[in-house]
Amino acid sequence: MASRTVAAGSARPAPARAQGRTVRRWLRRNRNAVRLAGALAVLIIMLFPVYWMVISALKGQHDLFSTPPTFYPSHANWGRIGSAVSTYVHPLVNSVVISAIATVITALICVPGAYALAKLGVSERVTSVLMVVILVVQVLPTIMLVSPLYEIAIRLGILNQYWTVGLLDSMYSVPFGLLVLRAYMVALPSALREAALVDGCSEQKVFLRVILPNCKPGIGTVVIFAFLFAWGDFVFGLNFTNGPAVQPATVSLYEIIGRDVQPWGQLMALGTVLAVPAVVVVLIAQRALQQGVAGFGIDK
Amino acid sequence: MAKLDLTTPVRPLLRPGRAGPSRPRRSARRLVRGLWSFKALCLLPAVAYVILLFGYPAVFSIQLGFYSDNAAQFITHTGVFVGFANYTQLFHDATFISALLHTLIFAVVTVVAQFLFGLLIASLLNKQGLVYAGIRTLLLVPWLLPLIVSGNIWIWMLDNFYGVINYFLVTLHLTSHYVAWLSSPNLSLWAVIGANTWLGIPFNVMIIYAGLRAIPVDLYEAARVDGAGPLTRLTRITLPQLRDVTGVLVLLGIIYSIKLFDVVWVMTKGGPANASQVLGTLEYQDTFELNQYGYGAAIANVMLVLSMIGGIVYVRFTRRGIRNG
Repeated sequence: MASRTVAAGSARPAPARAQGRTVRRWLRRNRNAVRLAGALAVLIIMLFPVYWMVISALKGQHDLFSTPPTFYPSHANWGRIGSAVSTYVHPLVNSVVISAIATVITALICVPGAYALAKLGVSERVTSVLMVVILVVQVLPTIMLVSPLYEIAIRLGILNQYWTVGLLDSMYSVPFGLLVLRAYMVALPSALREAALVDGCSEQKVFLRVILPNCKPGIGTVVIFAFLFAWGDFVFGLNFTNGPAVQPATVSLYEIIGRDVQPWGQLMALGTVLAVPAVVVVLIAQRALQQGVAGFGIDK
Repeated sequence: MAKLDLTTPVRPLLRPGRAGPSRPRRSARRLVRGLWSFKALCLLPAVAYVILLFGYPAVFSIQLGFYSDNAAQFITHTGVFVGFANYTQLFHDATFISALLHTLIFAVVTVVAQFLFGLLIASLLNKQGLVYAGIRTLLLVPWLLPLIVSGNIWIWMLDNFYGVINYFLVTLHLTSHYVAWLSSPNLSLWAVIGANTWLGIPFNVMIIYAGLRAIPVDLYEAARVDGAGPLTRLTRITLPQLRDVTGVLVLLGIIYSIKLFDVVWVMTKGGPANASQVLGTLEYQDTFELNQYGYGAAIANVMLVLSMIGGIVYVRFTRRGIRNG
């Protein structure tokens, strides 16, 4: 490029232009390879923080604080992840229990609710009012609901219980689940239900035997997201539990961050364990994931 | 009220020439009654859930904003009604004004950055094939991580002694020394914005990708025949065709920014000296650390109004999109 500025007005730009043309031609000829390289670069950059967490968890204490940092562990020190699991086994079990409760509540509320809104002939006006309410509810800042809910929980004396935190955690997924499942059920052919009714099935039986089996993928999506949302919660876990009895693992992580000197290896190890559900979902539930993402963007 | 769709194969079973459900009247009535009770059984839990867990607390918060509750008064319901005093105090509170400003900066920067990166990455990944499908899926990991885990990673990466980001910056000669990102008043907000942009990009990529897939290929072919360059194709085809997708992403991004709490709270708690304080963290701090429940609720209600505005625009927007589409 320097040659170009020096030799302004002379014959020099021609080779530069020719060179540019060659580069462009090369790019065009290898378009697929260039695109793939770009895509892989993006993936590496975007996943680097996750990679950094995992290898920080695996590094020995010396590697962890070395300058320059090491980009792969000289020897994988799995012991730290093992000890994170064994030290925080109780909070991790709490997280699983709370997330499972939240998931079950979400399914119990959303599947019948969405079915009623989609197929049971709720009048159009009522449906549209309810849909707007659900959208608005999804917009409510969670944090503003914390102190009123806290007051209710105190009054009812239900602080520090699995059910309370599970119920609260389901608030992340119920509006979402209603929207996603309703869209899913609207798309089911009505003939399915009507044929079963004409054959003499009761409404309950139609729901259990015909609708549920046909909604498995949609229900799967909602269940997976309900679990992930509850698993990731820490606002409700922080405010509605005290002490280690019910406290989820996200709150344990938060408490370690709050220490004066952070044990980074331990933090990264517990973070890695907490990342497992997300990674598992990405690896085995792609279709549900795609549907879930679409559910956020294009609400019906 | 299409309870029975008469165009389905059910028809031959029905007596011809009657409108509406035309099975014998008694069983029809029983059907309607059964339907009603079953419908109620299905719908009522959802309605009750929304009213009890969202509606009541929201109303409670609005009410609380007019009271001077501290923690003890909050528990014993002995707060004093103060009218709009909390709100007048709010708008004379420099911390609140700066939190409002930070939320605004946060919203604008994250929305713009996430959209631009999202568009770039989505176009790059807009190709069929197993490899690209795999990359698109793997890309979602940051979005699915618990927010506290993402925050935790970024605290570690931004560490002023051992942070890998500081290492990169110094190695690339972008800074001469390690920077204390999270404890410097000039930088903490930007550090939090950066972390938040990272975790929101995958969602933007997926939504924009879906939007790109929906653009008819003919448009690009026609444009190419007419000699349109890549830039023209971007500004004349891609962006206009993505208008609805962009609207959804911008609105969701703004709403998310107003609600924002977890990431900022974990990374900086709004500090140092309120430098990264946003509405969510300020509300939480005033409520649960300073025990000013009434004042905190007033902040929450400002957040409520702002997100409701966003929400109403969003509802209208998606409605219009559905009607047009």
